[in-house]
Amino acid sequence: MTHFKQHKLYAATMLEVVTAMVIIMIIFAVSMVMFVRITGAGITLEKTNASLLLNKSAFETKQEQSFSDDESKIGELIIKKTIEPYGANPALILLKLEAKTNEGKLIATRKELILIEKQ
Amino acid sequence: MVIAVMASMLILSAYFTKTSVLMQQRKERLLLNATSGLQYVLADDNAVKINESINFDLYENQEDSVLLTRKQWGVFQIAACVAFKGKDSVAQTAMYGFKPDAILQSALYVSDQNRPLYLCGDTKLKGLCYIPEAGVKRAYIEGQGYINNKLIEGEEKQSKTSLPPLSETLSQTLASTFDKLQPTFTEPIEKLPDTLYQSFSKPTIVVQLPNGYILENKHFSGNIILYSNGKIELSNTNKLQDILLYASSIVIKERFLGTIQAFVQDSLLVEKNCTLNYPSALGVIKNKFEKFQQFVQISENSIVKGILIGYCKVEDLAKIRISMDKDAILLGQLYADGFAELKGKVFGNVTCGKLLLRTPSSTYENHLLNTTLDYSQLPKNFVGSALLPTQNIKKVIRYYNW
Repeated sequence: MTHFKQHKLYAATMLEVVTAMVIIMIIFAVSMVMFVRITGAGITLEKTNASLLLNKSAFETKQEQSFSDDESKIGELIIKKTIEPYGANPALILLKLEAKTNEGKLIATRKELILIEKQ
Repeated sequence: MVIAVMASMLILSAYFTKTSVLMQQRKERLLLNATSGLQYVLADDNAVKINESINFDLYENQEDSVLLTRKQWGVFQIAACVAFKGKDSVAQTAMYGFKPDAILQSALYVSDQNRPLYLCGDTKLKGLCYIPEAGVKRAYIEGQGYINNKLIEGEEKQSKTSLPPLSETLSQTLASTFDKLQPTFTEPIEKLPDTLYQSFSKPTIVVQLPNGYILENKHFSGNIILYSNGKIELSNTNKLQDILLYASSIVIKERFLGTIQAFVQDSLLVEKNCTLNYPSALGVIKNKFEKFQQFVQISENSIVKGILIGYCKVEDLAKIRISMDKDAILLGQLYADGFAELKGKVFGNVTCGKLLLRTPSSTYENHLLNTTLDYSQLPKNFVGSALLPTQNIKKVIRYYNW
């Protein structure tokens, strides 16, 4: 007859395991919510993209000296350009750029004063 | 525990990513506002008065505040704009000048003192020339007659008895600077650092140097004024960029290379083989009656790119003198409210009361010998000083991002 050695195994009870799993899941869920909130709030890929498009549009406006109101559609965004006089000198203009969605939601804006040089 | 740490790290990484992106966006906006503010100062003279600073809300939304500053810097001007939000700030600065007036877009303007202009040797006048009513004549000096066919390669107009006037406000400011300077660097001169950079958006560093001080092995740049009640010597071991110097007398030693504006009340000597890059300016300012003739002298093979100016507040016979030795070159403008002694070459404009020619045997008035005055060689985008007559069209000379 074979004799088995009797060892005492230390283990958690079912209740302890379930409690630990619940705590871990709560922490994980809370952290995921915080992660999404932090990454989502303020900066989105859409906003960053819109901001870059406005920078590009401003650069092209200055390079091509095309200082007139304009509206164009780039991808899912509508870029609106407005030129306004600023101050006493007519050569100084305010270039205002706005990026909106098709639904009219404002995503990004950019304002810049430009002094048009006399040749 | 492990999952809690991993979750915290995930949150932290997202937080720091977001913070850095927001900081970048804030910097970009501040840079845009600083650039816009600078454009505003450059566009509108009334935006901020000279040597003053104002706080200004660019778009009237209390979110785009800028500090605007305008000041005279030697013969040029500085416009500065600091955009700020909370603790962050971005500065943009520009040195600017003005497009010269039509009358200074000429090779020569010599006032009409009832004497003709005499040309000798291999003298070349190219460009519009304002000369006395008595006209231009050939002459024979030191065994050299005029060798070229045409006297003037360009249009000839009659000059007036007086010179085109300097800006009264700016010339007074420049002349009074000698008496107004107060040192901000108050430590012993031995503790003067070897390297000093100062932004034009910050207060000016003013250093008083003792009489006879030899400035050497210094690397100074920007918003710095060095002054002395006596003499200063600048050795060629210095690297000086855009600083101002005021003294009774200044000697720029051989092979000096830099960009400076230096003003004296007695004498300024640029020794041989020096190069003063644009925008440099050298000036002599006669504030009070003196028996001797104050002068600026550019020695052989030295090049000045910028402005030479002689301003005489008092009415006396000696006035002031600006001399250019043989093979000295000026690329820019020369304005002498007195005598101009030209043996070198001027690619730009010369405006003077009288021309002076000193030879070993004699001294002649209104004579030019082996001199070249050529306005066509001056770059079309040359920017002059508001001190001289201008078209009131501002042009930026250089931008500073610090």
